[in-house]
Amino acid sequence: MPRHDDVVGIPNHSVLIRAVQPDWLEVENGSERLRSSTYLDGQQEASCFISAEVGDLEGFRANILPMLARELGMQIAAIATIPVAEVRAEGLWVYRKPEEFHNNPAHVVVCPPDGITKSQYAKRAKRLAPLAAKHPVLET
Amino acid sequence: MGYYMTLPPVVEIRESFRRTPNSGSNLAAWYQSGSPDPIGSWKGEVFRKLERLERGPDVPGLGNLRLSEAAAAQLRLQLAGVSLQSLPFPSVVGISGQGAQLDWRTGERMVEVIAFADGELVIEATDRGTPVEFEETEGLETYLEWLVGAADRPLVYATAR
Repeated sequence: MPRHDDVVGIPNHSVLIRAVQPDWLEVENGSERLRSSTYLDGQQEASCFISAEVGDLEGFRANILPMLARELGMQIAAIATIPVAEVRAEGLWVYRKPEEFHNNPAHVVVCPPDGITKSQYAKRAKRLAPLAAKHPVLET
Repeated sequence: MGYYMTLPPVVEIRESFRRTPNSGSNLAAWYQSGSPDPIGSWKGEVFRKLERLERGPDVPGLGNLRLSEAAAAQLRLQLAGVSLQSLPFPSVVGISGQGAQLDWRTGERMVEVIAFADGELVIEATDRGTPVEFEETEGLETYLEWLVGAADRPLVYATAR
């Protein structure tokens, strides 16, 4: 099935959660922030989870994060969240892909619309990191 | 005595690595060959990081962090063609989906290379956050010359989108 923007199944008020590996953080002026790499993907499909469908941050921390850390072989460095409305405002689509994470329907990808160049995609995907919120891996 | 004679020398100095007054051209040619650099230039460091990224993990739900062969090959090809030896060390970061992002910064200028899994590279330059446009046919070296001020060329600022 071709990719599309699932505007019906994933409304604008949904929030996407993305795990952040250590290399995607940088320190600037003494504070840690998300690098522009955070939502960039070499196959133009950045994996995220719909917050409300995984039990929000608490559910993600308890159930998804340990699986990701085990596969990564190290601790996840942070958690990023971004509203779907912001993703769409930058001209990107949100599309369900449960088959890429244990058939979990909460797994989605942020991808470009058809017909744009990789350069255009990169510009859009890089703009998401400053719009996202960064959360600690451990609940504070 | 016989036992010690079978050991390899502790330090092997190859002729092509010797720093002598006449070795400049040898070294320059060697840098351009793209070989890993025992002296420690920016290029040697980048090649070592790319090699590490090629062994990265595949993490469902986060992305495949193993740099693809096509992306690694294209990056090495572009980097090998850069003859500038005096450059800042770039940041080399793996991105999900078997890609990588490299960026060089000097002051307010930045040159960034994004490698996609299929081997396509996107090169971008910014000055104080504003995109600077180059001809599409320009290679990485032209961008990096501009970064360090070696290129005497008028700047064309692109629109934000």
